Formats: sequence, structure tokens, C-alpha cells
Amino acid sequence: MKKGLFTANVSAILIPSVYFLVSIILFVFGARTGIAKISEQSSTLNEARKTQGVLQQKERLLRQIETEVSSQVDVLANVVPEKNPALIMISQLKNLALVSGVTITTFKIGAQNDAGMVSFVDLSYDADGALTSIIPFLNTVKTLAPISTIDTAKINQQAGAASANVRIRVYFAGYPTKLPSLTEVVNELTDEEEGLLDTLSGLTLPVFSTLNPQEPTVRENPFN
Amino acid sequence: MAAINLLPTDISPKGPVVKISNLIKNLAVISFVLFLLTALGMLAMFVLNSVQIRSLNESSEGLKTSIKSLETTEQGLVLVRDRLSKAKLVLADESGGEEAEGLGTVTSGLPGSVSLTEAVISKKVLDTTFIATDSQGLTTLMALIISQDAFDKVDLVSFSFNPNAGYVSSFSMKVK
Repeated sequence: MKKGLFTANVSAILIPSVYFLVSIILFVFGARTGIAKISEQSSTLNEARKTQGVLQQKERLLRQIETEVSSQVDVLANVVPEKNPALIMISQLKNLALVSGVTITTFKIGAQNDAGMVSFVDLSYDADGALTSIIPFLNTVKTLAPISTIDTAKINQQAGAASANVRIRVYFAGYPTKLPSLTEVVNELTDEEEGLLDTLSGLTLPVFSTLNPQEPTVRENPFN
Repeated sequence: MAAINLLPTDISPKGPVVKISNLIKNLAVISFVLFLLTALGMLAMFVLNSVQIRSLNESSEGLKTSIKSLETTEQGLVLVRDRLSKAKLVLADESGGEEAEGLGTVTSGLPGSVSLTEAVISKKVLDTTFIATDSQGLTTLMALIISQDAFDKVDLVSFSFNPNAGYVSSFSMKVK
């Protein structure tokens, strides 16, 4: 009888203990797995929120600047052109000389230098005119697009007539070839960039004429 | 109706064993209930997060499509920023522009008896030669050059007098 009592006592403790132990194990295992999953999911959620924020900001900015950016591109693509702008600059100098009362007699285009981030080409020219025209002419060249700097200038004056031999450096640079990643943050122009853009927008842009294609015409017989 | 215990009373657990057994049973029930509640809570959170993630991803896909339709604008913005950075590099480059401006200021203030015969503009240095037909003109020229704020340093490189031409003076000026 005593053995039966012992077995009953052990069973009374052991069976609920097994249930309790199983519950604890389930709780611990479930909590650990669940927390790990939820934590992983939370980081995915945060990442998705961040990406959405960036995309919203980017879309808003692009819509905001949609109308103005094309005119800015037109200006800046002439200020720092993609390709060697020596001929464009010659045209600009000739136009300026015409209104400045200066005669440009010779032009010489040097070899282009592509060593740095910005390429350049040296352009030399000889100018004749009154000193009061030549010096303002030199100072006005910096208001022309493409952007240029004075490298050297030699001015001589005799009997009221002045002549100048000037070498300027005209700059250009290849266009960027890659767009930033779709989810990369895009910021609007800084105040400094806006200021620079305003300054560069004041430069005199080259004028290009477009030749319209014409229909073929019947050639008259020159021997008639 | 009265409860009838058909088990022999001498083999059923008694006293503290029953109490401990009941306590463990209660704990087992409580921990199981806690497990269920936690599991349900986590499941709810998991489902909620999944719905939110799906919604955000759908919204992001829509935005990506919209941004792709604005690709020309984005290209423009990238180009504008690139050109501005290049222009900034060029403007930071040394140039004879300030020297030319300085020469313009000096020559515009010259009196009639003084004329510029030669000027050489290079980066950072402006070399000039003037002829003054009288001493008053020479004094005005000197005063004019000294009063220029644009120049950091002015060197009188040579000075001579020629009875036929007048006072010939050469200066080397460095811009600030």
C-alpha cells in the first residue's frame, strides 16, 4: 500500500511538472523565434519607410524643378561645353570685337589639354584698335560663354594705335555618364550653387543658327 | 447530489503533495496561457508589419515609376550640378582677369600727358611701361598707381628720362 501511495505522490507532482516544463520551453522557444523574426521585420519596415521617404522627396524635387532645369541646362551646357569650344569662342570674340571697335587679325588654336577634371584649349589672337577699346574688350571676354581665363596678354601702343597679342584658355568637360541610384537622395542646389548659377546665367551665350532643310529644286540648264 | 470518491482513500495523495501539485498545475496553466498570448501578440504584430511592408513596397514601386518618368529632369539636374562644379574649378584657377581689370582702372584715370606704351598681363603679375611728357603727369601717374587697392605690391622696375619722349617708367604690379 505504501508503494501505491508513493507512486501516486510522484505522479501528482511529476505530471503537472512536465506540463509546466513543456509550457516554459514553448514560451522560451516561441518568444526567441518570434522576437528574432519581428526584429528582422522591423528593420525591413524601417528600411522600406526610409526608401519611401527618399523616393517621395526625390519625386517632389524633380516635379518642382521640372520646368526650370531645361533652361539651366541650356545655359550651363554653353558655359562649360562638352566638346572643344575653340570655334565657338572665335565666333564669340569676333562678335564682341565688332561691337567693341576692335579688329582681330589672327586666331591660333593650340592643342587641347585633357589632363585635369576640366579640359582646356589655348586660343591666341591679335587685336588692333584704340587702347580705350582694347582694354575694355579684354575685360569683356570674361562675360562670354564658354567660360575662359586670360593666360597672357601683351599690349603695345604707338602713336595712338594699340595692338594686343592675347592668349586665353577656354574650358570644356565631358558630360557625366551615370545617373545616381534610384533610391539615392537628391538634394536641391545649395545657396552657393544658386549664386554661381546666377553669375553664369549672366554670360553672353553663343548664338547658333539652324539651317532648315530645303526641298530639292530642278537645276536650270546653264547652256540654254 | 453528493460527490462519491470510488478510489481507495489510502492511495490518494495527501497534504503538501496536493498543494504542490496544484501550484505546479496552476503555474503550467499560467505559463501556457502566457505562451498563447505572446504567440498571438507576435503573430498579430507580424501580420501588421507584413501588411505595412507590402503597402510601403507598393507605394515605393509607384514612386519609382513616377521618378523614371522624370528621368530627363534628373539627368538635367545631374548635368547642372556637374557643370557648376566644373565652372567652380575654372573660376578658382589662376587667371590674368584681375590684372586686366587693374590695367583698365589705371589707364582710365591717366591724364592726357601720360600714355601707356606697353603692358604685359600674366597670372598674378602686371608689367607696364608709361611715358609722361611732363613732371605733373608723372606725379599724377604715381599717385594713381599707389592709390589702387587692387594691387598688393607695386615695384618700380625702371625709370629714365628722355628729352624727346619724357619720363619713361616701368612698373611691376602684383594683384592681391
